[in-house]
Amino acid sequence: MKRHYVQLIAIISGILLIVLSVAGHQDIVQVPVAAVLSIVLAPVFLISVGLLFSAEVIDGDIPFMGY
Amino acid sequence: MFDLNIEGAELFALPFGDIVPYFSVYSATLAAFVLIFILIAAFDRPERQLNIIFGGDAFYEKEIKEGDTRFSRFMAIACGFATLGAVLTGDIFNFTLFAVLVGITNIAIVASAGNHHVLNAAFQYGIVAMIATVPLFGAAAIILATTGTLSIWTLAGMGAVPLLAKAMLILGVMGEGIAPLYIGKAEIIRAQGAPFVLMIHFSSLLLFLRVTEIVLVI
Amino acid sequence: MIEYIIAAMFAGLLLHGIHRKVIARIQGRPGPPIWQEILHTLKFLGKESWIPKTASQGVYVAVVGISIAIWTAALMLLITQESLLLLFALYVLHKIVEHGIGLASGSPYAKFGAIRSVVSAASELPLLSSVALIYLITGSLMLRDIEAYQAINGPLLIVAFPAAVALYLVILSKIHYGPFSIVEAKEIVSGYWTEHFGVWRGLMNAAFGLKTFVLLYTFVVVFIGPIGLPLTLLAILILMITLSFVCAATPMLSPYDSVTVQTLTTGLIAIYIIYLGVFA
Repeated sequence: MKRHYVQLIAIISGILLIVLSVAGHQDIVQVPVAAVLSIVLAPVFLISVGLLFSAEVIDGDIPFMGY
Repeated sequence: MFDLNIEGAELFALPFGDIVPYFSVYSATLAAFVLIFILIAAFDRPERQLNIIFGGDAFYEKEIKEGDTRFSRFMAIACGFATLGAVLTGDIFNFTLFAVLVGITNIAIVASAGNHHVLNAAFQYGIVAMIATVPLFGAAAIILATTGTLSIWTLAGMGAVPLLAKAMLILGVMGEGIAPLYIGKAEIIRAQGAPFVLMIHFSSLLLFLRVTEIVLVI
Repeated sequence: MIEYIIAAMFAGLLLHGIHRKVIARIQGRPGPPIWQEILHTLKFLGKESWIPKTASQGVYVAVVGISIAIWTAALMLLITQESLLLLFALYVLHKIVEHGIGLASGSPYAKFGAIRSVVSAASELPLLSSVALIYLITGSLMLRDIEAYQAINGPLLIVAFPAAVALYLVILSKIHYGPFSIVEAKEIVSGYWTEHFGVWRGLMNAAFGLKTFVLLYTFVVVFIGPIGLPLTLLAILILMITLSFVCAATPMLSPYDSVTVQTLTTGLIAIYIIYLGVFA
């Protein structure tokens, strides 16, 4: 899996999580809905951020399904 | 309307006469997890186990061909759908049927390994699962006889179901859901297939979760 | 929401660090600094990661995501004050995660950890009896109703003491270095997560930090009641230190002893529940 895909996923899910959080606090989105969406997005965000961290040490590409 | 303070608010209900399949916060969460595990069982390849040869530093890896996993994959998916049914149904008799179906598919998943010890474990579990159908269906029969309905929707919060029926229902599900202990035995002698074996544990635990909810609600 | 998740993860990892420190001090060692587990997690995130050749790829990765999702869901449950029964369900699903982690890699050590996790299925039963007792006393399983009940009748810790003991035992059986942590015993290397390294290990560390925080938070909310955030955090810290004392002072039980102790506890609480249901 190429590095910029992971980067894209991390950025999109991160922004969505922040937007959801703000929307939940401002009552734009109902809190339960924001909670459910956060539950779905949190693993995506954390795993992609983790993979980005580890990509630093191995020449940019993430050997995700390659082995 | 179904708004007990046990499993969270009602999200959706589909009235088919007196049989009402419904989503509460609780059952919707369980259903979401079932769907994830069905996807895993459908598309994932099994792990290849490493065995160490004692006395040296050699090891060998079990090779699994795609064709070998076809049967257990099918059964794992069937097991997933049976679990989904058990989680979502609004009818106690349907629940017992799905529980038995989970038991049958569990036997099939283990039995497909084709190892002598694994088959033995599957056979023993099969006997327990068969015996467990008696209290399971017995509970449904008692509930129908005493209350005149099998709909969880109607029975919810009434407290009309006798304690004996609840105890028998739990006993039946315990019999059907005891598979992990037998499969644990099979796993010690190393039957392969992480996604499929995982489905056995998953279905058994979800049966327990669902029966806990049913017993508290009715 | 994400700010709660991240904060709870760091709080949980800090609790793990404090846990290690307290154990070390009791055993006469200097011990690691209390933020060691946080450093640990960040260190793992920066390590080279891949999926082992023998692993079942989907399960190997999915369990990491699912373990994060489960404990995030549990945290959200506490925030939105939903049903305690759902928390029980998530806790039971964590067993699947443990099992999946063990099965996914094909390593015999991880597999033995997974089998031990199946055998110690009895560790879920105390939570069930605890939930049942709370339902019997408060007549509701929604966290908001339980809080309302406690606002009127005082903490459940006094009324439902056996349930509190059961939940304490549940937390103890999930904590690292505890008497019941047979699934990650050192005789099977690291147990079920032996083969998860790098990013996967780091994320699972974070998820387990979240788990510790959520379980302790649940204990405080359910048995002591709404006492405000600073006091709740203090109560969590005290609870964690008592757990560390237990972990430092007890050896790890053998798998059979561990299961026996857990089953006996459940049995005793079940008898108490039946006594309450029939005579009181």
